[in-house]
Amino acid sequence: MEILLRPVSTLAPSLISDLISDLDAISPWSFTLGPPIQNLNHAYLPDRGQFDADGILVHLLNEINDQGKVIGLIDVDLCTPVLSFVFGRAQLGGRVAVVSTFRLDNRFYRLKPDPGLLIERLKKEIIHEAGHLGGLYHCRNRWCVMNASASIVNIDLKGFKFCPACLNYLKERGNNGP
Amino acid sequence: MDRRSKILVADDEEIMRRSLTDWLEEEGYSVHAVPNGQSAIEALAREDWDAFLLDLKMPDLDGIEVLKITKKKNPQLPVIIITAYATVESAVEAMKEGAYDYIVKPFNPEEVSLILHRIVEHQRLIKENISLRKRLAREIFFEDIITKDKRMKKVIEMVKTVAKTNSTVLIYGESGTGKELIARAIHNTSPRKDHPFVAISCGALPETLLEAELFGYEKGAFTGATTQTKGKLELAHHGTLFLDDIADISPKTQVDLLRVLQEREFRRLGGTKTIRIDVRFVAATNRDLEAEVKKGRFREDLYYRLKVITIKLPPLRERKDDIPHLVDHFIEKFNTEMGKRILRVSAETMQILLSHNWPGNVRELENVIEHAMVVCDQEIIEPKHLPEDLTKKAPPLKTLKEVEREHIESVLKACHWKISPAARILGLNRTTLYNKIKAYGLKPM
Ligand SMILES: Nc1ncnc2c1ncn2[C@@H]1O[C@H](COP(=O)(O)OP(=O)(O)OP(=O)(O)O)[C@@H](O)[C@H]1O
Ligand SMILES: [Zn+2]
Ligand SMILES: [Zn+2]
Repeated sequence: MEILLRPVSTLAPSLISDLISDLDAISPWSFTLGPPIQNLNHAYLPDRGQFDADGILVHLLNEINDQGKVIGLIDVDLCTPVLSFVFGRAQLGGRVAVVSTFRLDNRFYRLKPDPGLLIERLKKEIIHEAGHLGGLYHCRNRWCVMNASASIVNIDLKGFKFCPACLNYLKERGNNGP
Repeated sequence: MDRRSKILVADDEEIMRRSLTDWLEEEGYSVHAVPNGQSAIEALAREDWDAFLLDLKMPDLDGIEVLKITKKKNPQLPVIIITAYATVESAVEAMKEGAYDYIVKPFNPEEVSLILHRIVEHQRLIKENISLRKRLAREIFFEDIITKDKRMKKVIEMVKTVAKTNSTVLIYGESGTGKELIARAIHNTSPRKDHPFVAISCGALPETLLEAELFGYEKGAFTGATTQTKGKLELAHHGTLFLDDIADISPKTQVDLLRVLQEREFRRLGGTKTIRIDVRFVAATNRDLEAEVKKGRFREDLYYRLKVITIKLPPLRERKDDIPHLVDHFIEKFNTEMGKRILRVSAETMQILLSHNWPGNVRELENVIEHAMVVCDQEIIEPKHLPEDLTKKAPPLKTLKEVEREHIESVLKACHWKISPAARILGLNRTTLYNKIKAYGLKPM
């Protein structure tokens, strides 16, 4: 399965190219770079000072054309109507997802910036959202990439890998790549 | 996995229902959402649920009314109140009516998933009839040793197999790494489990006192020996004797102990009768015993007697992945002991815990969490709750590059980002300075 990554233009291109080659190597999918996301204004929620993750998904869905799936990469603070923040969001078993670097960046926690760590976290969250696109729920296994990442510590703890149960589910659904 | 837990949601706003359902399904729950109080009551009558998320503000039936009806019909069902900031008082009201908890819109995902997780876990325990009592029992088994670390797991696997034998075990590990815990687990897994586990700290006592403690004494054996007293060796008969800080015992006690290990018999201080004992020995030290032997401070023959089976416990700083698990474990432990309801540590706090060096290992971590829980008056432990020496720690050691970057930045700032004077101060030419500014991504702020 092909997944198109669509970054906002404010994310460094070097970060994105490193990301794509790594993702290809460590995930069951093949990732390619798509056109940048032009504008997020439509999803801005002035009263919360955040961006509506579902609004961004709708936007990505409107612009999708071929058979593949799309994951948007953005750098602003994401939320949903019920949640005060999310690291990312996906249509369960659907075609579009979004991940933000905003809360993956050490600077958000007033810690020293760590670009390497940021990429690690980003990779995990992209694979995690791709797992949702593949139909996976959250997994109780703390080391599985599908473990609910409600805090940055959980993200740092878990790995890039799917646990055997999750991997099996993906395989049964023909999600194990080309 | 077990059956997916079923959650009923009642909220009049369509967008909230949809968003909440999406998220809870992602979390692995099976969700049914209804728009008003009447349909909630019908759903409650029709099916069994594991949790009920109830919005207080609904058009037909008031949320408090729905809560009262629910609690009457199904007192066991945990009801979580959904509220907006403006109406937190009514949520507190609802708690008095028996609501399990309340959550304020928009929810912190971590908090809500923890609340739900706790509910589900609690119901699982009820179903499986595992009493809290049993889980908190004093006895330590290998299952009670919290670790995800490969080396620790290997150690535990190894010790499990030898626990059943009578072999002497020598445990190496820094202070607070869990040496006594392992010793207890060995005892409780061995055929000796119904007999005493006796521990003695050899480092804490001067020679004569240690000998008195170990071997016991007859009345009048020394000044102050007013009654006949049994020593730890006798008390541990048929059981296990744990000798902590074994490297610290004096040359004389080493000889006496060696004799016990060889002959399995001894005499009380001042006594004439030989006492035979059946004891399994587990010894522990935080020093390199072999080096002590080489330096002539520890008897080689005793060393060989003790080291039949040797295990090494890695210090906590070499298994930092264990920290989050241990933190959870201690929070649960002290919640029960102190009757508190602390959920977890914040991300920032965890970062501090993960970057600390833990010279006192797990015991130090346990003390830190205990301290934090005593002073913490909220559900989440923040850095301000930690002991001062943890948050005020020395700055991390920097690489040359980091120092160079910071130095260049400070000189640039001092020169108001004028390149020529900054280059002069730094002893660089302008091009080199430009290149460094670019390489380090420095920008005037
Ligand atoms: N893996 C673990 N899981 C849970 N609790 C632990 C673990 N390791 C240590 N502890 C706890 O940490 C504390 C210190 O452990 P213990 O007394 O066994 O250490 P020790 O190595 O014998 O220390 P010392 O050498 O200073 O006597 C105890 O309260 C123990 O219950
Ligand atoms: Zn997820
Ligand atoms: Zn999994």
